[in-house]
Amino acid sequence: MSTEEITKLEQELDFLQTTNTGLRRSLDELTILQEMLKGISEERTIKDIISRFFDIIKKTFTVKGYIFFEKAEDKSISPVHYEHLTEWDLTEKYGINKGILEWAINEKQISNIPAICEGEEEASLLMIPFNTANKDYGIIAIGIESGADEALTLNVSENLKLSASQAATAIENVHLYKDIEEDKANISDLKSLMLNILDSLVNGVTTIDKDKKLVHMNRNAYIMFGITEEEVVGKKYSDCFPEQLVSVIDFILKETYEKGFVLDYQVNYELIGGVNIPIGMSTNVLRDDDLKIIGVTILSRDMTASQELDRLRKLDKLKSDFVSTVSHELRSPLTTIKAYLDTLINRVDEDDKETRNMFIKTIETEANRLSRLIEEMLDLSRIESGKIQLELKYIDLTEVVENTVNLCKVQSETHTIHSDIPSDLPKVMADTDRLTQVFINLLNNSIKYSPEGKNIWVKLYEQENSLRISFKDEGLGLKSEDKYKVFEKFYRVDSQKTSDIGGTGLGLPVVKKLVEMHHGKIIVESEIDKGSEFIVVLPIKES
Amino acid sequence: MAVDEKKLKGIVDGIVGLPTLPTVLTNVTKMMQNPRVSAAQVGTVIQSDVSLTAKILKLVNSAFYGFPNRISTVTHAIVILGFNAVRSTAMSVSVFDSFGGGGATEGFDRMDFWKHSIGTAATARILAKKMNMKELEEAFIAGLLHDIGLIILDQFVHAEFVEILKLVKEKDMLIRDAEREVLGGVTHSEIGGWLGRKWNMAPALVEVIENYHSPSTASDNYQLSCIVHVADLLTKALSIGNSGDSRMPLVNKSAWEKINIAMPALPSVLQEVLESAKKSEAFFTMVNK
Ligand SMILES: [Fe+2]
Repeated sequence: MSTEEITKLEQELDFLQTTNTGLRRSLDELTILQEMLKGISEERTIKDIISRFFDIIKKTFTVKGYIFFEKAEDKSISPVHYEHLTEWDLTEKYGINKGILEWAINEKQISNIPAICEGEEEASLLMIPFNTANKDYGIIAIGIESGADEALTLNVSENLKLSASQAATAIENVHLYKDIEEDKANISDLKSLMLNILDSLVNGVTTIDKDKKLVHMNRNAYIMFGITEEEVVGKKYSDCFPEQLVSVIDFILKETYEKGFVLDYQVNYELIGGVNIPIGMSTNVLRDDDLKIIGVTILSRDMTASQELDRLRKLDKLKSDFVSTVSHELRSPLTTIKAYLDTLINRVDEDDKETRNMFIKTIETEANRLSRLIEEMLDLSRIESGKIQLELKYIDLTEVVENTVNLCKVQSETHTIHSDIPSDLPKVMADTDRLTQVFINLLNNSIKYSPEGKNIWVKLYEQENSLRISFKDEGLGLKSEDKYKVFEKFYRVDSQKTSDIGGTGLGLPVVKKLVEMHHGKIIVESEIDKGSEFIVVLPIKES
Repeated sequence: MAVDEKKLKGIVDGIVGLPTLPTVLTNVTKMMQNPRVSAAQVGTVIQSDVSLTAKILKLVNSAFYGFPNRISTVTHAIVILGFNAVRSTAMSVSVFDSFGGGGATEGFDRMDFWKHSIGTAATARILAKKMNMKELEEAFIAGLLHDIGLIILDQFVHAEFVEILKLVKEKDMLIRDAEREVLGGVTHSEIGGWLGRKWNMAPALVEVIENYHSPSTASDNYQLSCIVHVADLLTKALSIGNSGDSRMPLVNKSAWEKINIAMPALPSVLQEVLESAKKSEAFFTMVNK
């Protein structure tokens, strides 16, 4: 072997030894680095990640400080985290501008820029972009004391790449975590909004799955069903609903699965507090995104409001009917009065006393009728609007009925009134004045609709836990279809025979209302041309 | 397909006067085996070759790297662009020096060939960057050298190469198929791989040169092979230069999927490839000597 060859071999050996040492030391460094990098991925804010990364750089280089530039969605970059380094330093000492920073980010290039200003030749700026396969997150610029030429070895540059990629992943995780948190927050916001919307509905909403378990109930469903248990969701309704409600739900679920829906099924459901509220239940099947039936949603409506609305509507119609009828009823006596007065004043001779008296008599009758009409109308409206309060006392009906008969006897001398009024009957809770009004009305009717000379029977008796007062005549009688219509306002039996008889059409309606206020009723027995019997039935209550 | 080693040996044994890589490049490669080598050390070695230094500085200051400020020394080039970028410019320069000139073979234009090679190199680098790979420069060099076997054939196995080109033209064959027919199963890929070994290139690079036309999933360098495969086809599709084929070879489906360019993104990728081919003009000027 020549000397030359030996020298060459020695050189080779020397090279191999250096390389070997270098590799070993690099491996040690790498182990330490990896240990440090673990910490990075545990950080939860970008600032902490950057500062942890900076700590790692400090182990290799003598550093001055850093600036971290963040790359925004609009691709602009702006400095967000600093330590002992300013943008001014970047421009003045290293000649770095945005263009260079952007270049490094776009090229994904770790770069070490030598300082440009005098006396700082040794210093340099290390630019390390942070990017993952998905996104560029920004770049850190680190001022280092030592010159780049010697400090930046192949090994260091590899380690920087490794650290940067670890830091970028950590940054990405922070972003992802934030996104997930935001999504979570959004979903939970949306959920509570939906629940609030459901709770704000005036109707009850109940969702029951195929296993008959409660999926959801809104606030009003709890209230309407009188469920006091805190949490029933997840339980079978049969385990937590009252018995009556369970049978109702059983029924409408069956209907729903058979027909697809139920519309306004009416339930009078008693709440725990004992309040009876009418509920209308409508249902619909609930399907998932694949249109598979997964349960039933029940909408419960408190029908009180709508029933009340119905009643008001009816009342409103009644009122307008009433007004038109009343104005008609008032007009006819007034027209008569006016016509007679006109004639009396202009046509009848002042000295013709007989004709004048006849006219005045008619005017008086019509005026009386008008006055009675108005009185009864006021009565009726007071009763209907609930303004009349009965003055209830335990009273003896014997006296009341006797008084009535005596009063009416005076009015008609041509009819024979037979009365059968025993005095040992139980007392009833009643308003004397109002009952007197009822009895006078009925007895007057009997007289009015009976031909002269006929008999009328008034009878007081006890039957089936009630006291009954019967007024029976031999009058015109009623057709069976008219029997109860006589209690309707302004109803007049349409007949030749009755056309002369002046009635207001309001007497019987008032009578009926008054009797009903006493929790009683009126029974009518009648046969045409033979006569009628009106029986007032008043319940006897144990005192 | 297993390549007939004997056939390959028969061909390459006839090759005389194959250029060697400049000593500087060999030394740099060797130095970079030591992880503690500094930018200054590598810079000093390269700067001993004045001509190489000048060419490297021209390249690192070109639009291809796009650094906004002027880089005035190789050492600075290393600290700014990285060790591998500088080595890959050195490698490119050496390859152009060795195989750049000459050759006026009918149906095989050297200038078109280098245009295709540089285009593939630039495209491979873009794809590697898109995939967030660290080895951008490796992708560049692999792209640059993937067809180097064709130059060897043109320069040293000329008679057969002329025959191959004739087949391509007359029978409208793919050059690879014509090579197999004329060279008994051997193609420019195997020839290129042989050169890579002879030049002590990294095993990964050699493997990619040998396998890029049909990347093997079993390979350690599957990703890089896919990149070069797709880069080669994109360059062909955009008619950046020419490497002897007048027809487009079929794209390898799994390689295409590996690169994962969404169809809507394809136009913008192609645009980027065209731009980068333009930016790599500086490399092309190095070929012409
Ligand atoms: Fe090619």
